Amino acid sequence: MNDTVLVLSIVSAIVAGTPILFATLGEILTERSGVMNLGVEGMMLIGGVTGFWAGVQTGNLWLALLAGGLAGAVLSGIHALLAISLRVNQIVSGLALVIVGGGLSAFWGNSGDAPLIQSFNGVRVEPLLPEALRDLPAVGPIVFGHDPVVYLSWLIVAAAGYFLYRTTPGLSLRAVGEDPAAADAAGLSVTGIRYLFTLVGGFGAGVGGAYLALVVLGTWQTGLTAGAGWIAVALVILAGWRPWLALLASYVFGALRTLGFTLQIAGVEVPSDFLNMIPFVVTFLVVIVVSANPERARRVGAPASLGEPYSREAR
Amino acid sequence: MRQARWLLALLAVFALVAAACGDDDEAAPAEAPAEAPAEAPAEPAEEPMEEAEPAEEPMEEAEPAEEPMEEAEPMEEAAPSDGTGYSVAFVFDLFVNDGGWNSTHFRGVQQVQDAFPGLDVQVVEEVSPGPGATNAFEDLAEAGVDMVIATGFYQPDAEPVAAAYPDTIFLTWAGWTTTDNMGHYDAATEDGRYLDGLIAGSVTESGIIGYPAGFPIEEVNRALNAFTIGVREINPDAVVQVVYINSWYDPPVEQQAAEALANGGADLLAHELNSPAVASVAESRGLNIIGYSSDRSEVAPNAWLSSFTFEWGPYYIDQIQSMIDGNWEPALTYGGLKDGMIGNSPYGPDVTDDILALVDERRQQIIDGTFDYFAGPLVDNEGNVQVPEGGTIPFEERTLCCLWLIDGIEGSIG
Repeated sequence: MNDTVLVLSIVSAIVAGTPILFATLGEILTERSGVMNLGVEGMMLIGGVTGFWAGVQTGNLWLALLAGGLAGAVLSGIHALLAISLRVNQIVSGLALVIVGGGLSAFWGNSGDAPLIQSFNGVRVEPLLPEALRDLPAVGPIVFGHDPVVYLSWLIVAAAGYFLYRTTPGLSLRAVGEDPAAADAAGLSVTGIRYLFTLVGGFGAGVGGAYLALVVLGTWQTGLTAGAGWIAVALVILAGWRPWLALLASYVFGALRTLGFTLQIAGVEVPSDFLNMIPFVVTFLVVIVVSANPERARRVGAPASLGEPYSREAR
Repeated sequence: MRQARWLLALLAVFALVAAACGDDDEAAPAEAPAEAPAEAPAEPAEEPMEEAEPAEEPMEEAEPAEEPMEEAEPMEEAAPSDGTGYSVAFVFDLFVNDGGWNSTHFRGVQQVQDAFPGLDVQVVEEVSPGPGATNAFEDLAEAGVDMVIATGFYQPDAEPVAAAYPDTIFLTWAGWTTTDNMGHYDAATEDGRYLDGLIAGSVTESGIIGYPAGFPIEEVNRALNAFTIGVREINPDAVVQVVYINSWYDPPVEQQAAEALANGGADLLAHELNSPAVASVAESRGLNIIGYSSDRSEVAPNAWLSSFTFEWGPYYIDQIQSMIDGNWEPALTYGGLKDGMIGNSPYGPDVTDDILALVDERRQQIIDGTFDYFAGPLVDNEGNVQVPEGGTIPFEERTLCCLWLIDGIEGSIG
């Protein structure tokens, strides 16, 4: 039961979806504050290389994830400075992060006497829960068989959902994203909140990149995210800026990563390039459906002032 | 005052002339060896055996050092050349530290440097096959490099440059036509893969072996067929599931393919891909792993079984030595176990002594020429007889094989 293709594929999907989930959650919080950061791919890469480096140095998973998150946050700080304080076009600034993050991580990964690209990280993750639970049919591997980071991501999903909809700071965050002028008038620091959640978003992307390099792949390679950051950007829209849906969407797209090969082994020829395209095609469809009707768009959850710099004087 | 100025000017002229002469002196020996191949009329030396000797060459060099006579030093310089005055450039498509293909060649470069301490060795990284490679070859030839060794699939890019610069010798991996100053080399991966297959067959319990590979081309299929022959010799019911990822190096995709194969019931993974990702999956999923040309026991200490290795160093040393000696001749070199171009990594904990005894026996038989794993009949996985009873795939024709997958492989090259 527990070693059937279906159960094993679901487990693989959850592991493969976890880096995307961290990045998506981070980007949801950033965009909820009204800042669009398209630099997720770059932040994941810089988080990945930093986390991998920290893993090689310390062998400690949590320190490595923290290092990756901090590196992602530092990079997103550049975006915050440009997009919030200097009111640069957010799309241009986000794209610049992708290039900077990709270049920096490639440089760091290849330089030095013992380049990371051929290093081995000593980080090993073990399942969190006892074997008796993990051996339960089906739910054992799927629900109880994961490493602690997966459970942490579930906790964060729940916490983010609670924070956004059930707490006053969460309300403040949404207010800043929906109507910064009103939030400003109510005494909230629009700039401060936007800075904070842009950094939080960068931290999430960095953790995702670090988890990808350390645990999912166990190796560092130039450009190893291979579009995972872009998938995260797409999933934010697909999930309607809601943490719970981000969880679901991340795992579905985690499943798509191995589906092509599973089908190929089963004798069904589906070009893997076609499967890799699906997240973006689905996102296109969702965006079209959503934006065809402004009322629906508002209900789905796109923050009203997403991507618009706020300037008090400009009012 | 005036005289002093004239003197200074004269000095400057002398300095320039001297510098120019110096350059000439340096360039002179560079031209000498390059003439040799041009003179040696196109004797299309097809003997791929040449590289048998080179392995001993560096040893010979080490010997004089052991002699206690200290006055022997000038002799040492006179006898085997340490490469002074010659220059060789190695061209790589990626970084020499990729931990895979390029690293195996770079190990050869280091052996070359040890063998010829005076040799001017250049390493050129990140040269993608294509027009950029042609430019890189041109630059190297223009700079007077005596020998360009291109470690990837570069024949089409090197051909025009070799024609335009007859004084530079070109060696490319897996080329197919030689010219007066261009030769090629390749290693018989299948020799090592057959032995790896024996080990895999003895270890697998589920009887399903996953094999993520790069492209469905002759070279990959040939090695995969030899591997499967080895597996089925030990475990006739075992199957090898192959998936092609259409890349040589793509860790995320390698990981996905390996996961999918593990999900499908494979308890052992082998691969023809360059990153450690497949080994990493094997370790974390509790499977066994057969590597590709690199020892992955560090990534997968429990999962590790074995891998053949490429031993390019002796071949490179031989080629450079014959260039220095002035008797280099263009050849298509195809080297296997008996030529020392294929070796093996250390074995992992799950490899039993029994199977190792068989592996050692077979290795010796292949070297002696008394055993042929490609002996017919060979039937492909669609039921067609590819090699009839009594036939084989001759060593010198192997590079033409295979655009078919042998019985026992699940998957298709379509």
